[in-house]
Amino acid sequence: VTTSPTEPTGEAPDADAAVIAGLRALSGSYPDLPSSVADRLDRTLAELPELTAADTTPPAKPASRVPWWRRRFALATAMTAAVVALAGLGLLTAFPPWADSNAPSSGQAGDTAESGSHTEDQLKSLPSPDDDSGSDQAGIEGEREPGYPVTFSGRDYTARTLAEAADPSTADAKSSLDTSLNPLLNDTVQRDGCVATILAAYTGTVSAIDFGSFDGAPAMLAVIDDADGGNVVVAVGAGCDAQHMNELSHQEL
Amino acid sequence: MSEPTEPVEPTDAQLLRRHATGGDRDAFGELFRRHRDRMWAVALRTLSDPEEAADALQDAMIKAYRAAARFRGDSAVTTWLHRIVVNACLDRVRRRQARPAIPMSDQLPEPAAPGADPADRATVLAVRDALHRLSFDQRAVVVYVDMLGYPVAEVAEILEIPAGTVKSRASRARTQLAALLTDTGNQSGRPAVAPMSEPTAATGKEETQ
Repeated sequence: VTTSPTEPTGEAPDADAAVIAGLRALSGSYPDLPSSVADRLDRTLAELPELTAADTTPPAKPASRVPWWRRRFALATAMTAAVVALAGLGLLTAFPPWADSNAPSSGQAGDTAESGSHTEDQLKSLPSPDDDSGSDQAGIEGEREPGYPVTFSGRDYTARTLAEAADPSTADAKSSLDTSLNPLLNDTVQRDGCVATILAAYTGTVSAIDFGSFDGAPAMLAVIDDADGGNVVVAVGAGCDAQHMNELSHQEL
Repeated sequence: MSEPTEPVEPTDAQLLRRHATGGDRDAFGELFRRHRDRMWAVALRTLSDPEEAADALQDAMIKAYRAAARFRGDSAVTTWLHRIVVNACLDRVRRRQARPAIPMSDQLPEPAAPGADPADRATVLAVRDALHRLSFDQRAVVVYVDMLGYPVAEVAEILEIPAGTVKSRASRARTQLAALLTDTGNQSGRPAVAPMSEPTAATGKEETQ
């Protein structure tokens, strides 16, 4: 939109004219952007981290909108497959099916040669600590902390104070939190599942998690940013997991 | 000899795309600089507090920076940026309401243009007070339409409401402002809204590009 606002465009009735004149006079009394604020914005921008892959993923691909826990799941799957393959390789080494064969080691066609070739293929397909950069990459990301701060303020939120969850808390009341929150506190799989359930209901990305209570009930608070800069704070109970959100309350900011 | 061609400035969308797809921070910086004066004008008039306005503008910048890749192109980049600023302002208002113990700072300078009539100054102050007794929704509409002169259709896009709603909110807000100013005038013995001398550059100063 390239409109250059210069004059109010509304065709106001006469009765409104004085009010509009007053508003325009008020508007003219406000200062322009101070250089100190402009400098501060420049400094802040310079200090912002580079956009990550998660930041640059368009929303049309929801599979990567909740990237890190899914990557962790993928990592676990890949590692399981690698372990199974290695175990198979160990068995093959210990009890080689070609042990009694007189077939030459290479260069000849035949069943045994095919078996050897197949084993080589298996070896090539195994993830190696050196050459499987994809797995390594997944490993690094899988070990990464979630892309949002997790705090343990212990605050007892109410419908009026839910917005405060958007402010980072420096308090650490982790040890005094209700024990029913332990699965969400300590079991990252349950917490990841809970976060995914929340994100299925509230489109956006989680920017912060806080633990405390809501109206006295043990609760986890998730702050979600949407693409338009809006926020919503969602309070969920201790039973939140990959299947149930157990929402206690929410507030759009 | 051919005339030297002037370099073509990249569009807002191009700058945003460079940032979103190539991590070009400078492109985002240029984009934000293009519009930050107007966005500051909105934030300051909506919040009436320079510190809060600066914080809101910074919040908006960070959110836009992070959400660049999620810009769907359904609206103009400026509309999207303004929407983020309005949301950031609303966020500030709600946080302030959640902490009633924290008073709104009143650091705006006295609205005194050189040579301004003291009566005008008093009226401007009265309008400022009345404006901030409106709901945020009404205030945002009044700021855009009446103070900054944005077309109704554009405000409707920014606020994601129908144009008719913009008009009705503006109308209700003006009626309410008139009533508030009448009350103020009755209490002080001054006219509610005194005839104003024409403001200087009431809106044109927000022009950046």
